[in-house]
Amino acid sequence: MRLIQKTSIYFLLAMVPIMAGGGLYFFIYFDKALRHDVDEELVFDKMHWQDFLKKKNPKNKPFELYSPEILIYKTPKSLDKHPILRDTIIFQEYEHEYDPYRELSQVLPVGKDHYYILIRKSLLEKRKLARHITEIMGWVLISVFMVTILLNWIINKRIWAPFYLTLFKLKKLNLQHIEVFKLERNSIKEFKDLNQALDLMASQIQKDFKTLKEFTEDAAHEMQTPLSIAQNKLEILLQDPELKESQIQPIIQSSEALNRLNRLNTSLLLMAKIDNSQFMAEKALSINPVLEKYLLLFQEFIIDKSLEVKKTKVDDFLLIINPLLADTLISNLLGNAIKYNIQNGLIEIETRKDSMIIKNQSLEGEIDPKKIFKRFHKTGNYPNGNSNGLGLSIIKKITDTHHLNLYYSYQEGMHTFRIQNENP
Amino acid sequence: MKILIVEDELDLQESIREYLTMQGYLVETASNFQQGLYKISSHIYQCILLDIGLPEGNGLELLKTVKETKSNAGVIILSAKNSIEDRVKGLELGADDYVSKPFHLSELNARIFALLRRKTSDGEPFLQFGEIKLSQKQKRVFVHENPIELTEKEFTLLEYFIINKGLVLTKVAIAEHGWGDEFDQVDNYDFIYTHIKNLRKKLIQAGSEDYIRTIYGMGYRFTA
Repeated sequence: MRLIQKTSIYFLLAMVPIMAGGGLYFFIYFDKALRHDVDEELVFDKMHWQDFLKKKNPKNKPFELYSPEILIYKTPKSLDKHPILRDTIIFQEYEHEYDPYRELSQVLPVGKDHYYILIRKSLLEKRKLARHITEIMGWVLISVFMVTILLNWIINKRIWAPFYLTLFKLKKLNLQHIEVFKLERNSIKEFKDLNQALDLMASQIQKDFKTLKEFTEDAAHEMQTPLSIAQNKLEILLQDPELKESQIQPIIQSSEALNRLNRLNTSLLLMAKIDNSQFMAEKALSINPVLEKYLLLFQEFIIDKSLEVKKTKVDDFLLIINPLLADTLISNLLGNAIKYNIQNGLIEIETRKDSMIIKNQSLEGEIDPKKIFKRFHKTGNYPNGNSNGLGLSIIKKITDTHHLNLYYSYQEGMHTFRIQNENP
Repeated sequence: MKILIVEDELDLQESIREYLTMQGYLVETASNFQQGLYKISSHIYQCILLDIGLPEGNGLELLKTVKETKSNAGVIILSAKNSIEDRVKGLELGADDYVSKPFHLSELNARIFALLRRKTSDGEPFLQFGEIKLSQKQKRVFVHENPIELTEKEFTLLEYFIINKGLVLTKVAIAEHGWGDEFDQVDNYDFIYTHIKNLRKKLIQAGSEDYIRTIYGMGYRFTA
């Protein structure tokens, strides 16, 4: 859920009871105020009638009045000190419904006589008025509420805009091109602080990353000279005619170990160079001729293992890739498919416009897809101890830097590697 | 045959000198740009091994000088940077070959041999070892003057053996010479064994002596 939605929901949750309570309070308040008015009117009317009975009826004739809203008659009952005010409902014959009324009743002294007086006033109109006022107030409140939410939304959007811009840039951040990470200046202190912190962090990471990349490349370079010296000294040593065969053996073993170290170094150097974007490419290249080239180069190894190679070409597989890296990619993939294959095994190659699949049989069972592309990951029980565990990492590195997806799966005894072009 | 090694790493320089001396070459050395410049302009060499990563002044400058003096020397670049740009630039400037460090001395020896063969066209047309005669131009092999049928790889292996005769060759060096970078990917040493076994059989069948000595399956020596 977005921040703005969350705040809006909280706002709504807080406002709804406040508004409901407010509305109710208004209604009760108006109702009370109006009733008070009615009561005052009733008392006023009563006083008029009392005056009338005293002054306008001097002969002291008995006066009686029976109407739906006023009742006046002589009564022997004792006097009431105060008027009695109460709510009641009266059946309306014409409308066939009960209407609310307020009534005042009192036994009053008029001369020597006692009169019972009852005055009623309909509350219907007053109630309607109260309801109307409450309704209007309600609408005003709701409008204010809506406008507030809308304003809140707009202001929020505007205030958070720089934050979302920062977030957008962070998401697109790529360590390879971290140089372009430059955050906008901002007038809000919190965001300004955030941007400053991020800028600082980014430049630090960038510096470290660059240093690390350069270090890897430099280290790999520097290692080549001592490796050469050791390799060549051993080769010279081997030529000593005095050497016994038992002495030759450890020298050759050392030489082979050095050779492995050298290949490891070459692979690391290659990866560092790919990381340092030293292999630029602009033109789209068809991978099929590269495949053909390596199938030819590897032909002897294929024949040696009596491998069957099944090729399916739906279309040319096109990639924007440096020709050297294309060579590396294909020679690694095909080399693996041959190296780990079984005698009389099978290799299947399929190319489409945007994908390539290379399948091979193997002594190995399924490899953990999570570990397969990790550096130095080895699959233990293969007889040849010369693999350095970097071949697939190099393939992964190349696919990663070329926006290609690399998938591994194990189906029906076949190791399957699929390269999919994300944006053909 | 005079060879000049221009290499600032003295240990490396010494190994190369020793190995090539064993092969019967006359070897001189230079450890920096100045020495290299002096020797190139005052002596005649058939082959110059040039490290292009010299500390003071790029080795490529020396290469230009060699070409300007109209020397007939073949130049092999030794480089720690296995970078394509260096290789292309070196070959554009007129270098004859390019070897990236680390290299096997036997491989360097084979490259020098091939280079000298190309440069001195008046040399012997055959590479000979006892009763075995190898014509590099025709890619054919004769034992006791009788031609024998060898595969391309077998020919390459025999040629490599004869060039590095008497020396112990590791199977890694042999593999890299015969199959190049591709071998890295496939990594199958049994494969060499099969090829050498076949070569040996063919040579013996043709009446040659068995010159290929195996060292515990780790290397080979071609020797009388």
